[in-house]
Amino acid sequence: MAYQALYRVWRPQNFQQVVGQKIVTQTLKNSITTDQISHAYLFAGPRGTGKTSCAKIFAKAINCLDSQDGEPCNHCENCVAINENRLTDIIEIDAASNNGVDEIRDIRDKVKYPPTQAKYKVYIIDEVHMLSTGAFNALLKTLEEPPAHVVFILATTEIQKVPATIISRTQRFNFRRISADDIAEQLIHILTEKNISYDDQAIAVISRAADGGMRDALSILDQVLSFGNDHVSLENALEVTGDADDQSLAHYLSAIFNQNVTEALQTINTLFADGCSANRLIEGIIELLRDLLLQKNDAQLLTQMSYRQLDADLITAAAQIQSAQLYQMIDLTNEIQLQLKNSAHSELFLEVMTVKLANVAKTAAPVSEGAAANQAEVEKLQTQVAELKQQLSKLENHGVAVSPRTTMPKASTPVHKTDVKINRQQVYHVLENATKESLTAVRDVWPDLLSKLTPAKRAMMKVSQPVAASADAIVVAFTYEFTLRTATTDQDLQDALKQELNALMQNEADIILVQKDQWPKIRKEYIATLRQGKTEKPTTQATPPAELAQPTIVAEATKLFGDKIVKVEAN
Amino acid sequence: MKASLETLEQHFATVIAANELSHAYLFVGATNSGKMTLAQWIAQRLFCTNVKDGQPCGECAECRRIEEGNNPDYLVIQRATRTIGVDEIRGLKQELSKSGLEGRQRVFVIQDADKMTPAAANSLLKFLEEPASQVVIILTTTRLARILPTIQSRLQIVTLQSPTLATREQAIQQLGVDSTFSHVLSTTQFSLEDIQGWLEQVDAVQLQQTFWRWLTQILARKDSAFTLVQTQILSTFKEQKLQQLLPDLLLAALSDLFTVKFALNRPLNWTNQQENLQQFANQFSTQQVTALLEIVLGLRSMQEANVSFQNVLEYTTLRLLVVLA
Ligand SMILES: [Zn+2]
Ligand SMILES: [Zn+2]
Repeated sequence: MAYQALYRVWRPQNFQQVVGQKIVTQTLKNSITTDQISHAYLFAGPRGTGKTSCAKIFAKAINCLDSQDGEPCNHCENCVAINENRLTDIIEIDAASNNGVDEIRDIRDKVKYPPTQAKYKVYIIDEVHMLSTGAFNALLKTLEEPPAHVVFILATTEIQKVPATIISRTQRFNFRRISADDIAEQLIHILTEKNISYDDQAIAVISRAADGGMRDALSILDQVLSFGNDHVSLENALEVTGDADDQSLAHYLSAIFNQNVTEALQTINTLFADGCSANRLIEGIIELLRDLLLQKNDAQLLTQMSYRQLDADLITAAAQIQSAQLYQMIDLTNEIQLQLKNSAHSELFLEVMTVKLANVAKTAAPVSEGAAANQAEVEKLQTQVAELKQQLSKLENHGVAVSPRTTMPKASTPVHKTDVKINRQQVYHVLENATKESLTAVRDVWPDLLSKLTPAKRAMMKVSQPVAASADAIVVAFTYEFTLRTATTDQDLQDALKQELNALMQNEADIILVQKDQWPKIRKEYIATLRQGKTEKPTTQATPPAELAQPTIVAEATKLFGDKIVKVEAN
Repeated sequence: MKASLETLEQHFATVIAANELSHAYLFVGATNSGKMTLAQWIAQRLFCTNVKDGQPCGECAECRRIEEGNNPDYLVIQRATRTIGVDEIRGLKQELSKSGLEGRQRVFVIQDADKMTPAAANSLLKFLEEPASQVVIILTTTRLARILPTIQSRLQIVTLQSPTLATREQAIQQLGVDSTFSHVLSTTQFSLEDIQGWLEQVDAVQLQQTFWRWLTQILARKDSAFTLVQTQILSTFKEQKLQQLLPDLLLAALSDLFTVKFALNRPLNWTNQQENLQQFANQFSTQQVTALLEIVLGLRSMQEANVSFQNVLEYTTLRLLVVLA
C-alpha cells in the first residue's frame, strides 16, 4: 500500500470537518434543511481552502438517504457510492483538461435525463475559469434552463476569469484563506489522533508558512514527518519551510538597527548557507518589524497578537528607532519581496535590502538638499523600472488581460511611503450607495462581531468604528495610524472581519479600512467631487452632469450624513 | 527544505525504506544542482533489483535501462521549446491512467515544469491530487515563483543547494577558456553547449576586454562609456545568447564590488579584478555601491520585457553614471 498524503487522508467528509469556512458550510447546511437548493453554485477562493471538498460534501448531503441537519451520513448507499467515486449521478469535470468543451456540450444533451440512483444529478466543474469561450457559452445555455433534478457546482481559484454572465446565474460562495489559528488547531487535532508529539513553535511555523491553505499546511506537515514520524520538531519544521530561526532574525535586525551592515550581511549569508529561503526570510523580517512596531506603540497588544517573544537585545536596539522608520522599513521590505519573485538572484536582492534598511535606521535626521535631489532622480528612475517590472510580471503570470483585485491589499502589496493608502475610488463608491439604515445596522452588530474575533484580533479592533455603510461595503475608521497599518497588513484579520460581518449581516459586503483623522477630509472631498459632478461610477452608467445639480447633491449628502453636516457644508 | 544532492539522496533512502514516499514532488534548484540526478536516483532506487544499504547498485539491468532512458516506467518530459502545452501533458495523463489499471510502479518527471502553459498546468491538478497508486510524479524547476500556487500546494517541495562549481569550472576550462572567465561562467545558468556555441562566434579574451573597458569607464565616471555601447559592446555581444550573458557578467562584477566594499568573507567572481575593484570601492560610498548593484539586478527583467538590447544598455549606462555623478 503506497503512502497516502495527509491532505488526501484528512479530506473532510462532512461540513463539520471543514476547517475555517463556517459561514459557507452553515449556509449550505441551512439551504439543505430548508429545502432551498439552487441549481447552480459558484465556489470561489484561494487554493487549499476546501472548495472541492465542500462541493463533494454538498453532493452527498443533498442525495443522502439519512441526512441530519444538512449533513451527509456517510453510511447510506448513496453516500458510500459517492465516497467511492462510483455514483454515476455525480459527474466531476476537469475544466482544464482539453476535452472540456466537448464534455460541456455533452452535458447539454444529457442533462435532461433524470438521475439513475440519486435524487439530484450533480455536476462539479473544477477550475471552471479554464473553460474556453465556447465552453462557457455552452455552459451558459444549460444554466439558463436547468432541469429541476440538476445541480451545478462550479469551483475556481480565479473568479476574475469567470464571465459575469456565468457568475450572475449562480449562487456565489467566497471561500476565505484559513487563519493561522484554525490551521494550527487542525494540525494539532491530526497529530493528536496519530499520537505524534510536537513542539508548539513548530506548529506555529507550519501554519504561518501555509499562507491560508489547509492543503499547503498538510503537505508541509507530511514533509516534516518524513524526517522522523514520532515528533514534529521546530528544527525540522524550519528546515522544511526554509524559515529562519527567531534568534538569527533578531540578531539580523539588531545589527541593522545598530547600523552594523557587515554583521547583518554576514548573518543573512550564514542563513542562506544553512538552507534558509529568501522568501521565507523576508516574510520573517516583515513579521518581526511589525511586532516591533506594535511593541513600540502598545506592548500589551503585542503579547496578545504574536506568539513570538521579542528578544531583549532586539528591543534595546530598537529603542533608538522611531515608528516612522519602522514603517519605512516595512515598505522597503515589501517592495523587495515583490522584486524577488522574478529573479534568480534573490540573495543579492536581500543584500541590497540590508544596506537600505541600515540606511533607514541611520537617517532619522533630514538629508541635505543636494543628496535629496540626487535621490529623487534615482527614485524616479526606480519607479520607471518598477513599472516595467510590474508589466512584465503581469504578462508572465496572467497573459494579457489582468483584472484588478477587488479585496483589500494583502500584506505583500506595497503601500505608500508613510501613509496607509486609501482607495478613494472604493470609498467613494461606498459613499455613493451609503444609507443611514445600513450604517445603523452595521453599528448594531459591531459589538457582536468583535466578540466573535479571537482576543488578539479583538484587541486590535477595539479602537475602530464603522463610519459609513452601503449594501455591498462598509468603511471602518481606526483611531491610531499604527493599528490601521497593522490591520491592513494582516490578511487573517481582514478575512475574519469580513467573514463575521457577512455572517451577521447575511450579505457579501466588503470592508474598507481608513484612519479616523482622515475621515472628515475624505467625506468633504467626496462631497466636493459630487458638486463638481466628477464622481466616477465605474460599475454603473455615468449620470449626465446636468443631473448632478444642487438638489441631488443635497439629497445625497443628507441621505448620508443627516441634515446637520449638510448645513455645515452649505456655509 | 533545502539540502545538497548527497543529503537528499540519503533522506530519500530513509523515506523509501520506511515506505513513505509521497506521490508528488517539486524539485527546485539552479541548473546543474542535480534535480534530474535526484529524480533518476529515486527511479533507480525503486526499480533496482540489487539494492544495497538503501542505495541502487547502478549496474543491474534495471539501473542501466533507466540511465540509458530505456525504461518505459521512468518517463521524462523534457522540452527544448519555450513552453509545454496541454497536448504534451495529455500524453502523460494517458500513461498515468494506464498505470492506474496495471498497478505497477512508475516514475514520471516533468523537467522545467515552469514551461507548462497555464492550461497545461491546470490540467495536471486533478492527477496530482488523485494519482494512480504506485506512481510518483516529479516536477523540476529553477524558479519556484513560476509554478502555480495550486500546483505547489499539492506537492512536497524540495530545494537543491547549488552545487560546488569546481567541476563545472574545470569543464569550461577544458573548452579553452581562461581560469578567471571559467569561474565567472560557472556561476551562470548557461550550459556547456551554450558556452561552446559562443566560443565559435567570439574570442573569449576580446569579449572580456570589451566588457571591462566599458565597465571601467562607467566606474571612472566617464561619459564616453555611453558611446562605447554603440561602438563596441553591441558589435561584440551580437548573438542573442551573448546578449543574455552580459547582465550576468555585469552582475558578477558589481556584486564583487559590493563584496569588496563591505569586506565580506567570500571569494570574488572576477578573481583577477580584486585590485581594480578595491580602488573603485574606496572612491564610492556604500550607498552608491548598493545602488549600482540594485540597478543591475533589474536588468534581466527589462530584457525579458522586450526592451531592445541597445536601449537596455544605454539606459543602464546612464543610470549607473547618474548614481556615481
Ligand atoms: Zn447518507
Ligand atoms: Zn541496480
